[in-house]
Amino acid sequence: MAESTVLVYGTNLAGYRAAYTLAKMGYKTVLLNRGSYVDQFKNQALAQLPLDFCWACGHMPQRLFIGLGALQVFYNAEVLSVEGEPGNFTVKVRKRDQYVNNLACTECEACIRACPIEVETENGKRKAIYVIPEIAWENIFMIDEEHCTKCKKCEEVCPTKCLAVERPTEEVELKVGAIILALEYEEPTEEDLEKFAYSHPNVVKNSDLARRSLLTNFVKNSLARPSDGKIAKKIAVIATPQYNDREFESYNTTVSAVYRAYKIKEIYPEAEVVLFMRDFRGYGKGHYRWFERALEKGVRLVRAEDVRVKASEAKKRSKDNPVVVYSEKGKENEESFELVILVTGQKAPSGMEKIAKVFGVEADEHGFCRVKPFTAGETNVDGVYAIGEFTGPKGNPEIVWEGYGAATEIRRFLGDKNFAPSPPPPLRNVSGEPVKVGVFICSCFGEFNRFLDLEALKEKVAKIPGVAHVEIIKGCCTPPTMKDTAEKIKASGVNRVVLAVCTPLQKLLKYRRTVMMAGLNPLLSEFLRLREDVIRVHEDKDKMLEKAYALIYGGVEKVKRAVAEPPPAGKIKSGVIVLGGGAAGLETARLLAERGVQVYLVEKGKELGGLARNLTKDLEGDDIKSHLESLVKAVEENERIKVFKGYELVELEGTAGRYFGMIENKEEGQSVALEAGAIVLATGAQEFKPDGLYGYGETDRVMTQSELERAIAEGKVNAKKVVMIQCVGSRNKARPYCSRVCCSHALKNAIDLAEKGAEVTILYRDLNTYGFKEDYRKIAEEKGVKFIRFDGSNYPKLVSKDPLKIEVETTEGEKLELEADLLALSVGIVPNPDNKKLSELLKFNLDPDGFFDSDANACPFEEAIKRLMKPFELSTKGIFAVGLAHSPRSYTEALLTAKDAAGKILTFITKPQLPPPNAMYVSAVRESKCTGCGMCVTVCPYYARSIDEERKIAVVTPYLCDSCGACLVACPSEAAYLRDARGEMMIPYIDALLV
Amino acid sequence: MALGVIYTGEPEAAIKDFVKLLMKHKDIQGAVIPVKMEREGSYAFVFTKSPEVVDKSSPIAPVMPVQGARVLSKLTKRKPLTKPAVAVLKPCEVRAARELSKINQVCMESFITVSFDCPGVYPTKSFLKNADALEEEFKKGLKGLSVSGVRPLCESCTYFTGEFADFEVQFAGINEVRIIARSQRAEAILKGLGKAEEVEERDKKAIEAVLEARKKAKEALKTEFAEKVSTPEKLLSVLSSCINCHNCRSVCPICFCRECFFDSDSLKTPPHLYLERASRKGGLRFMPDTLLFHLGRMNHMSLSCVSCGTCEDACPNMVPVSRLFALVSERTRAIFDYVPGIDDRPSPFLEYREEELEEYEMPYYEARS
Repeated sequence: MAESTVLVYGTNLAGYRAAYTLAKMGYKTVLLNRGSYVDQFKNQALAQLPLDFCWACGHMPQRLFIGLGALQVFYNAEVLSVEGEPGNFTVKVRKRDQYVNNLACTECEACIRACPIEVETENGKRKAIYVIPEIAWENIFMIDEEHCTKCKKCEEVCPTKCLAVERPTEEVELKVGAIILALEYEEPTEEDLEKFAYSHPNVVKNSDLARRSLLTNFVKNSLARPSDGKIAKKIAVIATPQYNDREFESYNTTVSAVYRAYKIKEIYPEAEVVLFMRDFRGYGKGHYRWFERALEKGVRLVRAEDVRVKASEAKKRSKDNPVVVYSEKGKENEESFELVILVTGQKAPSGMEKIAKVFGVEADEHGFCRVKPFTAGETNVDGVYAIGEFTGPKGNPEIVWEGYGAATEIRRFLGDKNFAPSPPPPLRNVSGEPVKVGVFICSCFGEFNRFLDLEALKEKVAKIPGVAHVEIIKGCCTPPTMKDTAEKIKASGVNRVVLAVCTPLQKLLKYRRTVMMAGLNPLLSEFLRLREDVIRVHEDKDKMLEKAYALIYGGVEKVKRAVAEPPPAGKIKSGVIVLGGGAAGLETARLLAERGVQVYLVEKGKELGGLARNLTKDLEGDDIKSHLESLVKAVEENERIKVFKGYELVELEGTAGRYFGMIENKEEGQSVALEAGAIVLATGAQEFKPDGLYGYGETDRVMTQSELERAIAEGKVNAKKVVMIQCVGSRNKARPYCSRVCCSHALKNAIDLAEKGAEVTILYRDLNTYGFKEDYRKIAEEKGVKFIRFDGSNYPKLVSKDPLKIEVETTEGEKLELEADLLALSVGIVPNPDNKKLSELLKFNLDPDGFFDSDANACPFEEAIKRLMKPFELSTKGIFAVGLAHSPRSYTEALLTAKDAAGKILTFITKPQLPPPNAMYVSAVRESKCTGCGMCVTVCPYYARSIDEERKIAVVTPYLCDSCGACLVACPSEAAYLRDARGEMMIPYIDALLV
Repeated sequence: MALGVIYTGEPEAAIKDFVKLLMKHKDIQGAVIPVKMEREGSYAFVFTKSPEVVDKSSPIAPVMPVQGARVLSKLTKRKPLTKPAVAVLKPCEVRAARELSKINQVCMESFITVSFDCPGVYPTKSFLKNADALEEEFKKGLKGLSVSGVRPLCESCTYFTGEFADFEVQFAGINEVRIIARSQRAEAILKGLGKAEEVEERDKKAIEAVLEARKKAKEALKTEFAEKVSTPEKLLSVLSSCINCHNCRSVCPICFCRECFFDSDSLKTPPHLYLERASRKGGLRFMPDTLLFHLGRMNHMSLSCVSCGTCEDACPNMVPVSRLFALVSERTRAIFDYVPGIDDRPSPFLEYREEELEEYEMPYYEARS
């Protein structure tokens, strides 16, 4: 019997995402953090889940999944040995718990007050036990081992006994079914950045800036120079990996640089911003538009061949301006700046050697973990996956997609599902009972007595009309105190509860649980913040008392009118419609079907395989042709996939989780009705046809790169001189985006031809050799391929057709005339012309370039993250665009989007009933008040509302509602309401707060 | 030049003839048009299929007890009409109807709207006191759009032509009556009737003097009236004779709720909280929710307010409520650069634009400085 638990080693975003996905699918995970706190090993996306806090909705997934029992996290962890086989690994782990168990800590800070040791630091005084960092949502208590005397005074005063100064190092043995390696992003060190004088105070990394401005957003003050606090006005932004062979570049690097430069101009228009980069490589959705926007904003772009930074006194506290030394068009220049921002790349993982030894995985030539092509991180060891930045530099969306992908693929090694959230305790029906409000005031294990006269408060509260019971409790956040409080609530006989506690933000679920343990629906309760809203914001004790009283009074008035209702569950349809039988559609269908989901694969044409049928291999030499053939075979042989060839979607009704579609074969006059819970858009795209450009279509010596590839494969090319022109019909007004695949395509053909002895010249604007593809540029150069850069406003011209002569002006201003036997045009990918029709049919948006909208649409990643991290997978209407329908991408990358979509779909599709993400906390409709105006439908960010056309009123799909309240704000008559904030609760609540 | 029909003679007669003409079209059934109710001495909208009723109608009524948009909403809120009807409306009624259609309260496809140069309407109460004389005066001033004693907001209305209807009727400042198709649908109807002719557009100068006078009145409203409500105390004293009857809301074409929030259980405050309020403030004025009611309404509908003045017309105690709302509406609409009933885009309530949120993204210390 195979084990069902998965081990995730490392805390990169892909690892977290895989763990959360597995939990949603029903598998437990053990996550090993090598650091002593959640964010010690930094993630690539700085704004993403900083300290375990999700910006999108305030959820803290890690805490949530730990609380539910799906996730276990070990700190200071190290893997000692791995034995066994896929499905049955035995992993020996060494770990040491955190000093403070975060889940039990009340953050009362008694430990800090008790600590007798004061330590002087760069940022002022602190105790030997302290909180890091100051801006965190979740305070992490750290002990300074150097200064701590182990007097244990802190341990003595800790009210919940969650603190231990000395934690033993333990060795544990874990039985797991599969392993995911998700080690973290490594930033270049000071030494690696020596070329850029990083030790100078006014040379900062972009990530430093991002971390510093996490909570304020990026504002003018973020530009304060570390040396003297002056706001810098002349700023250089350098994409360092392009000038430093110690760093690897992810495609995010240049777009981050562009975005940073743009943002500076936005918040400080008078600033002079100079951007240093050789090639712009942002190919993600909207990236090229940002590039253009930055230039429009007045950012000066210097396409330097080399850049370094010198500082006369490259020391801390230096006040001299750093000087950027750069060569442009063969000339060396110097320019001094008040602030230099380094947009850095990443380094190969430092622990790779050891990991290779322990796990048996291999490092590639760059020192990253090697994974198999066409997979979401399969290594050479069966049952061991490697994902995220651990396997190479890549962008944030891809990292998150790999998390979903790995969670999906790895399931084949696992046993039966081993996790389901425990059912809630039975709740009492209180309808018909007279309202009896109980107020329970938490003393935080006596801590609050130091600030508040709790007895006086109790006395005052007892006089509030309707209050039947007041009691001071010890706590409500550790298992014994939760139990104790629940019993007190029960014993008091009340049917409404006001809990005056410390901080509902992090402990909300515990409080709700406590109320449920007392047999009451949490909708009948209200939680107030005595610490955050009273003790920590006031100094005057009388004021504190007054405010605590007002808050409680408000809570009492609110719960008096509260109504209990159970969580409304919604039914989900179990099938999935996949539109399009290209590589991405096939892969999604295969993954879903192999995991038990019924799939309807609808292909417009007569054959499966799509555009990929034109491909033989990729730049890395991996065999696409045979992979595609086996994929087609796997799909056609799978019983759970029903393939409809020659069919098209003609009708669609419904919403995420419940779709009713009609497909039609027009030729045969057949139509079939289908039901599905999700829809996969895999309708592909097309190659741009450069008709009329450079004599294409007039002579067969001018061809596109894919025509050239085919000709090479068929042995038909014997040209001696070949010229290639990049970005033909791309990155212009009509198509302001980079198709990302054309540069690789050109390199692949150029290397093939050069090996046959041809003389190849590539004319380009930016060579988008992202990630490790830069290697192939070097290989091409070694094989004699020439690269000539031209300016986007001055494309090469065809001056003679016979013989072929191309005139090009280089960016250095030199005019050249090239003769060729063959001219290859690198054309981009254009959206499928059917997209528009389909977008209207599905009511699913297209992006500005005409591809389908997706979670990674927003750019740059600060924005994308907010969408990627939405609380649940159904937030894209249950519609998932994959492959070229999503955006231009290579075969491997198209497969990754398919794996991502399959993973997202698997988190919900197999569940017959879905509760709302916040259980009984959902929005609802008072039918007698609703006029069907549709305002709530328009404003709902989760597509949870629609208009019932028969009754002309709004309806809510409960499992899509995140209870955000946007509908309630939009609705003028309160026909839309939140169950926990009805109008009749809130107006008296406000009234009472003002006492 | 535009497609249209030219009539000679009185504007009202021309409109009636035109409505009867439209009713002959195979795709049109009936008309919604103001008719004088002889016994009551006032005017009401009548929905009719009979050309005889149209003959007796008064397309340009001197009063507006019921805002026409409410009539269209009543007719089509549940379902569209099987075939469209002609609706003769004042410009502000057309705008209100268009605004309501954005929130599914009117089906505009069900109506072929006809609107005209509007001189304004009399306050209903003053009209009823002296109906015959005022009717006479109204007729006299109609062609020159110079009728005195109309609703205060009519005096300052600058959207007084029918250009936002399917058919615009022009007569002010010109000799004949020009009826011009303003939508593709209207053009198709004229062509279908075989009546489409090329009609010259009216020179803007013909109504320039009227526009200038109205603009001047509007400026006066913005300055003089604004002064009267410039502080919370002044506002409260302007509202002091409000009796919380909610008439203003009941007649408002834009207030489309089935049940008003201010009539709901939410505002049924328990006595002990009244006591708390009274002791907090020193004394509690009754009715206690007057200010909240007006502010709430402003919040809900000021972006869509077409400044028709019907609210003030319905007020039993002469609270200048329409001027108050027009003033606020002017300001809130300016934030979004939106004119209700004229802009085709959705109400700013329903439209999200990223740059709108910039002020929220600004840190406190910057927003405050």
